[in-house]
Amino acid sequence: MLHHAIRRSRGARRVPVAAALLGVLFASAAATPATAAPVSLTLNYTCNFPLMDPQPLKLQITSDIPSSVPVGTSTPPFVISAKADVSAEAAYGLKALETATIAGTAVAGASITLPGDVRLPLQVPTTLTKTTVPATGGFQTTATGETPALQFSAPGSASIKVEGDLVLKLDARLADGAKTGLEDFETECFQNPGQNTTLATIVVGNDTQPPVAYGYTLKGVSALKTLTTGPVPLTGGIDAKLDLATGNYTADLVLNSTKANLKVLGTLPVKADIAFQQTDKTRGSLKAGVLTATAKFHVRLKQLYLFGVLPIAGDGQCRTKAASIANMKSTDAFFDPLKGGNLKGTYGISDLTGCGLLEAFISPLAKGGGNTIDINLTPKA
Amino acid sequence: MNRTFTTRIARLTAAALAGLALGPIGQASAAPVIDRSFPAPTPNAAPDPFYTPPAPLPAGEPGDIIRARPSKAGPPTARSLANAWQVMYLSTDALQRRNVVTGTVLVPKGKDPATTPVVAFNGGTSGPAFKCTISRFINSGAFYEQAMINRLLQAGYAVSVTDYEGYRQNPNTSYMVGKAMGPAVLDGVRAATRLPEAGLSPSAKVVIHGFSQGGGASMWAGQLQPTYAPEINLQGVSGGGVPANLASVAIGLNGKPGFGFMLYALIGLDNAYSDELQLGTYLNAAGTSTLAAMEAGDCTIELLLDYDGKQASDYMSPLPFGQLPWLLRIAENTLGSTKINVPVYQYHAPNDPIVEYDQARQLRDKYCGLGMSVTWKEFDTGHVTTVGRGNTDALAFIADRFSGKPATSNCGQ
Repeated sequence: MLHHAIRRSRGARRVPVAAALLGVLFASAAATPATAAPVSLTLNYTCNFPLMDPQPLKLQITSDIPSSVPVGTSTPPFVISAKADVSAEAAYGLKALETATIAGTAVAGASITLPGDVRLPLQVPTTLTKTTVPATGGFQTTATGETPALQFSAPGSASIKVEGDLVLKLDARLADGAKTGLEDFETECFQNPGQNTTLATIVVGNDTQPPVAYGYTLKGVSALKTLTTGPVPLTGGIDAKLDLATGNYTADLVLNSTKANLKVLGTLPVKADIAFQQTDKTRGSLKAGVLTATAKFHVRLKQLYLFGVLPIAGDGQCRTKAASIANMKSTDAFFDPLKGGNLKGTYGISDLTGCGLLEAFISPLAKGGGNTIDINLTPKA
Repeated sequence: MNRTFTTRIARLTAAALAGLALGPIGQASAAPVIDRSFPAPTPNAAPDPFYTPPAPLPAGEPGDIIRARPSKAGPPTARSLANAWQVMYLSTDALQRRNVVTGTVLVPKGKDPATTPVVAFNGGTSGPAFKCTISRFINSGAFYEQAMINRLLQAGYAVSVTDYEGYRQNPNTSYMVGKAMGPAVLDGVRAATRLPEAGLSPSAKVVIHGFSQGGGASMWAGQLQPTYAPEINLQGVSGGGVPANLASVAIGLNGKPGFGFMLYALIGLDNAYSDELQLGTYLNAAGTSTLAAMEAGDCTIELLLDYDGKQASDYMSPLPFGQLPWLLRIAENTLGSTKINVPVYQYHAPNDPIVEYDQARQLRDKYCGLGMSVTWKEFDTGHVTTVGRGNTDALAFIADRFSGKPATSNCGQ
């Protein structure tokens, strides 16, 4: 089991590590559910044991079932445990037949009602723990079993009910382990009317789970193919909100202002202060370990320095006419949002505007595709 | 004749014909109408008028059905194996008077009933109270010998289960009285083959089987069959834990854990021959109230466990078994005086604490002395466990009789 400090990003809710890890491993449409919650239900039945008047049987049923799951989830079988209280009279009857131990199976009638009021009857087979019949009085035995795996493909409210009857196939044994005179016998137990039969209610839906927040610092380079000489260092950060159900996220990207050397007219050395101005949320997905990101930003040439020193940019409004769109993709074999990783992408630059005297020279240089971005994301502390 | 009159005649005739039950070919009188109007079986502790004999009894022959209704073959597995009906049929009591007896007929699903053999399954002691009626336990899924019934059904046999005489509101069961049990068993087989819903053939091969009281009932049916029901196609009789000699068995239980069975045997004899035996005259206050309570609410478990440490002198004086009228009727109801004409399988546990071993062994010896084919086997599992432990060998004996294999008597050994 991985042990990570629980990460916290600006304004984001604490997310249990296990859930986040699950979000990574199953970050596709079939994400597994959030934490299971303990549920319990007590039910009274009346059983037709051999040779006697109908006898009461009390079942205390417990399980761990999530209170909410995202749409499209398949849940594994839920383990159901039950404690059964067997009456003194029933025990007396077993004793009359020299019964020393009782084991066997119990099949419980149950149902799952899916969103849209679709009721599916279920049978939950359980195995009884071998129990010694006491010399006097009633006794308790335990049973464990599983529901089948369940598929929640529609949003809404689902419920698991234990309704209907119980059929016991009891394996009664003498002290020497041989079968009693009853051999194999079945006992039907009928559920007493008028009881609450709901074991668990599950809310199925897209908005049942808040998006998981991830935050990273960012470091890398961009090479502007025609405009700059040498790579442009990049620093900044990205704060994302990931929807586990769909694997999609939205993010706020911050690229800090940086410096670049431009080639103007092939020879004039011009240093530039470059800023990247986000025009929209960065969006992408994390699916099957592949992170994609589409960032939209204006490239702003805040200041240009001829010969590295003479400011010539005009009124500071020199920037791309149309926002650039950078399409990036993770390069690691499997992007783990808890660890961060590397992304690479390309983007185009449009005509520049507001760049003053040098516009005519710079704009054609700037314009074009094939600009690269190469960054590393490190989870924020 | 005018049109209205002829129409009326036609309608009456049609109704009468529709009401007639099918009966055996060559029957002198018309079989009685089967009353199918009773509602479904009720829970065991509730009243159920299905079991109350009609007064007067309708005309008809022993084995004719007078009431029938669908019932449950048992818990879920049994219900998946067979259809079942509860029936009331005409029979004969220990004083050779006409009576009615109830029972259950089970027919395995998925087989042609016309060629299905029949096993008359005779239950062990169920108890004196109405709620203990075997048919009622079968229907509510609480019959303690359901395992054997299921095995018979799985083997493809129809099963006829008599309740024995006297189970109804205010019961009057003739427990252990062979002269009543034998006819109840044989007429139960007849009834099974006369129930139209079952579709069984009157010439179906039949084997009779039971344990404890059921073992006794089986041997009685075997002994009486040649004279009482010669037309039954009997192939064999199987009985375990057989109480052949009531006095031996009952006296042996005085002051023992199984004393409850002795008290019930006294009740059973008295119910069969009450004018003569007058059990009430022997009872003290404790005896009167205890025996009344037994007929109101005791089944097998109570008989097994609630009378441990008790003895006859707690309830009555003198012990009826020593009185001549009782001795005569007990003698009349002791097995072994006439032959069973088909192979017999008899089994018993030497360590049986309820039905004494020696008297069962003596029955076997008597039968062998009569020249019968008897296969004898011993178990070491007492009484209640042998109820189940004996089933596999009994099933093998039954299967061999239906398949026509020659029996392997071990009388010489």
